[in-house]
Amino acid sequence: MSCWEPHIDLMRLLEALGREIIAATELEVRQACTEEKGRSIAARRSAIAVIWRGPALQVQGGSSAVRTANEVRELIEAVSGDPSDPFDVEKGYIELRGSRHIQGQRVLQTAPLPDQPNSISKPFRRAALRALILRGF
Amino acid sequence: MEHFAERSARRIVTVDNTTVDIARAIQRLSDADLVRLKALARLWTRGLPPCVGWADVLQEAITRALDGSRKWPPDVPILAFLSGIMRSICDDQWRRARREIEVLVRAEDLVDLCGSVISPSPDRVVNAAQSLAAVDRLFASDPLALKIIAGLAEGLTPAEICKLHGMSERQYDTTRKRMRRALLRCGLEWSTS
Repeated sequence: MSCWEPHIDLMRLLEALGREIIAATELEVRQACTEEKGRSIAARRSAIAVIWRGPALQVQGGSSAVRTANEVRELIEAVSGDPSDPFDVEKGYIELRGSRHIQGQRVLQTAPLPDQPNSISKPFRRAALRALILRGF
Repeated sequence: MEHFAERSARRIVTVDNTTVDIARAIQRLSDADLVRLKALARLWTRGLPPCVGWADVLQEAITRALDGSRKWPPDVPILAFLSGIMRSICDDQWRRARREIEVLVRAEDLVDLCGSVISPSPDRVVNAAQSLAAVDRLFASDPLALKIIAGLAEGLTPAEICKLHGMSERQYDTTRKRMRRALLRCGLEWSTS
């Protein structure tokens, strides 16, 4: 008799369910957003407004999808060390702040900066110098 | 290329073509994609120790995608790529928890206790059993969905699940659609505790 390994079952299941979420159509996403707990049928009906705009049929899932999207957008922007300009790749570098909860024990180290076209050395040194001046050394 | 800003936890990553592609793909995510992303993060949080929240998983996945620690394979949609990173975060977290136990308990003691040093920690086993029960509860009112869930957990293909339970292809697809909506809905509601 083989041993039940729930962690293997769970990972297999999560992978399969993850694929289902990715495969969900926009209509299914909007419908799910309007089916949140506590909403009345009338509220759901009014929230799913199917409107005809030119060649594309658009489904408005009410404010729930927008609210969720904004929440996720804010979380993503918070990953950037520069929230005013998150992921501005034109700068040649990006600052990242991962989850402290997950990276809690990661050892931080300062590495020498490379001399490359996209090098961060100049802006980094300027920022470091500014920080030192502000802290009064 | 990754560096750390002095006296802060911020990592500074030199931008290469891959980073540019990933950053642009993330910025281009639609509202519906972002809802899917939240549902994915909530889903993968089910595989994590209870102290880790979905926002942590999501932020760590974005960080790992951008800092180059995970390469974005060509032809893989960005959501699938991020979901894959979340999966590896689950593994990493449990591996780390395991290492912490190993620091406290000598390796030979662990062999005696668990039979093998590579066996999962008891915490992981309990957490997984509870998470599987939570997924079952989510679909408790849908017997067909429960059959599909059981089949997926065992690694069966859709054809095998249909054959095993005498389900038609149409029944399978209709049930899958119900499951997707439930998953997305719960991605918005599921408690992370």
